[in-house]
Amino acid sequence: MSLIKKIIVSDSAKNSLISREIAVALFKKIIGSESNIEFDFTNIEFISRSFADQFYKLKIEYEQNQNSKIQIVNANENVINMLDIVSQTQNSTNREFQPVPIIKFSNSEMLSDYLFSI
Amino acid sequence: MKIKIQNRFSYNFGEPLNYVFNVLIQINAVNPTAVSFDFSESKFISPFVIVGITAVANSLKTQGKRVELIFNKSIPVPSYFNAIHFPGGYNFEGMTSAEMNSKLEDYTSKTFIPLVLFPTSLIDRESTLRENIISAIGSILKKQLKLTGNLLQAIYYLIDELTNNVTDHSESEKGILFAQFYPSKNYMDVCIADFGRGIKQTYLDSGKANPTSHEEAIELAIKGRSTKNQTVSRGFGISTSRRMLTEGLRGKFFLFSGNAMFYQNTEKQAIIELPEGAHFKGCMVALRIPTIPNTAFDFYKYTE
Repeated sequence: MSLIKKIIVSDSAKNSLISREIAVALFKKIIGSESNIEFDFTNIEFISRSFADQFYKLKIEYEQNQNSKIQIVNANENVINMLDIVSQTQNSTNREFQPVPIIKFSNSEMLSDYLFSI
Repeated sequence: MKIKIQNRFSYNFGEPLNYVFNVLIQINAVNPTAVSFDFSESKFISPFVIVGITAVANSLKTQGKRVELIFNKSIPVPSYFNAIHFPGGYNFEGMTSAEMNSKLEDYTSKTFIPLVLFPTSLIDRESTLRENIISAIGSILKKQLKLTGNLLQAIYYLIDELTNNVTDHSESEKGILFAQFYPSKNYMDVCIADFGRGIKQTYLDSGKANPTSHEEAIELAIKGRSTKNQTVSRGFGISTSRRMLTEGLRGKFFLFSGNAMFYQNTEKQAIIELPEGAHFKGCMVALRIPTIPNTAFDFYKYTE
């Protein structure tokens, strides 16, 4: 398990990773690999929460099942922070929610007045 | 049936939304087999109307109805429509990321992005195309707005989360995205819509919740209730986006699906039950994002 397989996550033309499917596609590249893995985030300025959440889940699952390590390299602060945030919310069930009033207007003029006021 | 599009809209946030509701009320009252949207006297069109009409027109087409858009080529607006690629959207089919960036370079000096009808299918080819489109649009907005740091991160976040919602939940053939920047007013308007099954039906189909009304479904969505199996770490999109935009950036957030809407700004928030005639099967989100850097805004405070 001393070998390292390096995966460049994106070419230089694309600086953000957005969907869960892209995270899944990245992990398809390492199926069956017997080495440790490095995901290289060079050029990536932004990752969405969805991408980060899926990437984090797959990383944990892979490391547990394959008994290998996945390293994240050349990630900027934004990427590191987003991965950190999703790692903290995997088991979070209590979200604060301020009740929102539900309003009905008896005629369309009152609805228009409301909309013009926003 | 002909719908004559109003010739001018103010910068008021709610006026174009009210207009879209009125268009829906007119159409739903008649249930026509064909609809013509007449833009021949249009002079200034709100981005919310552009996306709203695009979503309604596509929804009508999926119901087998005939849709026609009428323009008057003798006035300046059609060149704007051409520039934004209304109503069909910019054709990115077959382009690589590098090609998209190159083609969109023309928009760097403009105050709008082209209208985008992005694919929503999860098959690899369409996922990659969608990913590349949203990434390229983010790059153009960065250059247009000349933003860095937390505010740029927030704009990326809002667009990514809300377009992902369309992909993950709507079962719409396409998602719709458009943005217009108003440099003299220091804000941008972003509108994202689909013509899919709507929020209420998404919850019902998931089996994760059983809302009995569109208002209840919207309440679940803004609370962050997921429709997916991995409930604890999903469902953040709408709930975090609205808080980030209104509490963090002091902007405005609007969500519409079925016959209910939600609005939030810094001072107020409410779910509104709309007249049944204003019913729209898909979903529409309108955002007004202030573009003045705000040093007090902490992006990571709102990403949970």
